[in-house]
Amino acid sequence: MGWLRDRWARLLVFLAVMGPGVITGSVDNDANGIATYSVAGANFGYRLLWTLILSTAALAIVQEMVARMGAVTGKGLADLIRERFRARLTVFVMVVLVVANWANTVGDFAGVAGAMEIFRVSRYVAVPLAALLVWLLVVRGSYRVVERVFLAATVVYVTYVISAILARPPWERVLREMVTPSFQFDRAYLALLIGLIGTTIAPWMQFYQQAAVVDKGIGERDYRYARWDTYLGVVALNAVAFFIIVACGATLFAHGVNISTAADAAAALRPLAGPYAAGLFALGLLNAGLFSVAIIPLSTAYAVCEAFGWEAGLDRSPREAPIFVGLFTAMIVASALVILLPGIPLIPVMLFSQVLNGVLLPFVLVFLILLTGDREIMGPHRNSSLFSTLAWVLVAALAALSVLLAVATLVR
Amino acid sequence: MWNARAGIQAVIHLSRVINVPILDADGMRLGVLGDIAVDLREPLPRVTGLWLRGDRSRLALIPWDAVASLGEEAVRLRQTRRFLQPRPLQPEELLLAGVLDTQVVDTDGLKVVRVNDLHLTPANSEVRLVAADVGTLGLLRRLNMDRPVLWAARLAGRILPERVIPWKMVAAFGGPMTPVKLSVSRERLREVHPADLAQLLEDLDRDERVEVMTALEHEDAAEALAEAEPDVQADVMKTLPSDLAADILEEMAPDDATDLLTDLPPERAEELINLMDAEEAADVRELLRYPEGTAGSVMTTEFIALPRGLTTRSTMERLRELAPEAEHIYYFYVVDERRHLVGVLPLRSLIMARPDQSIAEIMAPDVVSVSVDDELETVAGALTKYDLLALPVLDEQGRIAGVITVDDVMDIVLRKGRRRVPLRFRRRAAPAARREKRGR
Repeated sequence: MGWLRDRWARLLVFLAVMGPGVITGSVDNDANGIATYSVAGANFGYRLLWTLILSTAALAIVQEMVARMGAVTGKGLADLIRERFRARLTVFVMVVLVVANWANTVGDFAGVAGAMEIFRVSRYVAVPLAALLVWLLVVRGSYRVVERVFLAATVVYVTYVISAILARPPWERVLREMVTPSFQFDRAYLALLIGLIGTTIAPWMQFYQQAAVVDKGIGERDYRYARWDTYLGVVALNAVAFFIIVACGATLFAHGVNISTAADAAAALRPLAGPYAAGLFALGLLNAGLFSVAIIPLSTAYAVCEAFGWEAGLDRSPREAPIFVGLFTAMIVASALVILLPGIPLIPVMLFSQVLNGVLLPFVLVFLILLTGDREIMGPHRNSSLFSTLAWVLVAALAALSVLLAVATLVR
Repeated sequence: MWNARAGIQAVIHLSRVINVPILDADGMRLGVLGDIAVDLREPLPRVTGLWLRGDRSRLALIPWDAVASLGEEAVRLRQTRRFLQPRPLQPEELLLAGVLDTQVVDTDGLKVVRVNDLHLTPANSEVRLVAADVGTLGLLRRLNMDRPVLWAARLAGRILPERVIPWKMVAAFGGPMTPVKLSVSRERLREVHPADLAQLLEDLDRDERVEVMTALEHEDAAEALAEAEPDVQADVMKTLPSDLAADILEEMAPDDATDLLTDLPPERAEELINLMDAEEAADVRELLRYPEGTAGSVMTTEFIALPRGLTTRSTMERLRELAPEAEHIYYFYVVDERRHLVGVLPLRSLIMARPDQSIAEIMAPDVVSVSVDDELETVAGALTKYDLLALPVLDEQGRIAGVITVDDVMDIVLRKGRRRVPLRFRRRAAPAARREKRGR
């Protein structure tokens, strides 16, 4: 019976260190993600499904690196970047991070606005209220409780799984498209391709997951379990993406519907929810948007303060940590204001934010690969040469896609 | 800019001298300055050598004797290249660029800060490290943005303050842990109260925490750790070398040590207990028997029990031997031959009594006590109801097993989500102590 006990013991250890990866994965399915996957399914059917296999692998590589780095060094990513690459490059990375995260937050506010418009609430009421609510919850309330409530609410994604199945998609074709890469040199296609990767692998996730690993006190010894947590989070995230694309492909694309508002995207849930599809979709979108609007600015403020040695932490008052609270507030306000610009279209804003994410991602990844390949920092746990090669190929491919997108935009 | 001959004084910023050209006596360019070594043993470390960038070994330094001037435009040497005699880095020397961009503890302001720059000042023919720059101005200088920003600030009629910490107040981490470095950190950290140190631990990285724990005396390390948050405690205990962790645990009060061990993975806790001294390990094992949240799990086994037959005088003598070890000496517990609690002797009564009086005469025979299985709320209730500083804890047979002090309970209650303390106490106070008779 020894092996049985061992197995249980191992499961217990796994459950104890589980969290950072799964949480990061869940937060990553934000409003922008839902929008991007929906548009991909609506405009191109199942044609872009093949990118999910690539982005799953890429995300697994990237997040495994940060989790390993957190476990081995016990330090945050911004901290390591500052110590290894010094002041100037740190400022560069932080500027990239702030811009990418700002774009993400703008997109997520667009999600909140879109969801509330389904409920017939004007965005000029919904967005300021959401901003205020999130600010109060995070700064004055208990962050842990907030995080748990949002996480529990991500169960809404199960509706996509059911809806996709009820829509009776041609599974054989779905699977075939999944393994057949297709490519076309055209702006809309390229932008969506980058957007899909950008929404799956966002720069803030690396800072966030590494911080979570460090916070949990996961060390080299527990790392093998933390690795499975990372992979689990990655797979769960992409499974949701898969079902969103299939659900949209089977409903919207099949009927030639283009998504121009959030309400259009809601139709993908009709096979499951019928007349309640719009409401259900809006709830999911609202939750995803609010969750990310809380977490992304928070993780930005943490990373920047960590890099420059400013006081940070939710247990500190605005007077004790002025830059931390100020940055968090500024991110929320600056993002919300964009959505309040008269006549700004919500779905394109969300897509654009993810394209920007994808374009900025390689800049962060370069530092990540250099750090995890550094013998002085990682010791025996540094990247193997095969792993480094894979990671560099990923960066090169992303950079190439960005260049292609730029060219395609200019050619037009 | 400073010149040995002219002796003009000004602050030299490390960020401004790194990468300046090094010229020999003939004016020939040898390369650029990569790093500066200082002697760590002095309160204001003296520059002892320069490292030429590109010298891959990182071991050969240009000795300070060979340097004519160190300035923000160039480093000039007294000797020509041929006569230079590079020497290896000594264990008491620290390379300054290694401190740049790292976190350090400001032992005066009690904060963890990041070093943006280092300030050196020339005096006579020496240059000394005087301060760490942790302000935004220092950061701007690194980016070469300080002049435009200062200019803009002046236009706006504002003055940007420098934020510098005197080097004497800085406890730095990272780099190889030489004995000299350890003794310097030990000296700096000793100035900090353990409770403040506990707070600082929270802001430090795992390796930095280990460094603090290693630098401190076991006793101070134990005190700081006992005050730290549970997750910090667990993190430190997981990463410290096992021997050191066990040594620190031995120095902690058994109840604090037990508290900490329950938060560790069982195998690690077991490993550490096995490494502890037999006596301390036995205390901890005893306490670990009681489930969390009971009186037994938080009581301390360090208390003073006196046999009934003693006189006041002999008691005082015995206390002189025992008391330095005990956690508190406000009450002494009087026991019979089978360690059954028969009375309590407050310090006050002992002082007031005549030397030849028997303690059985002056002790209070009715003692408020709790049982090892009682919940903490019950204990807290009894402490407040009877206004006591400590309560004896009895095992199933009525023998005294330990003592709970007010601060033990305070710690736990305060940690429990900051609920309002008095309310909780009053509500549960009624069924508090089992032998409710008289307080004192």
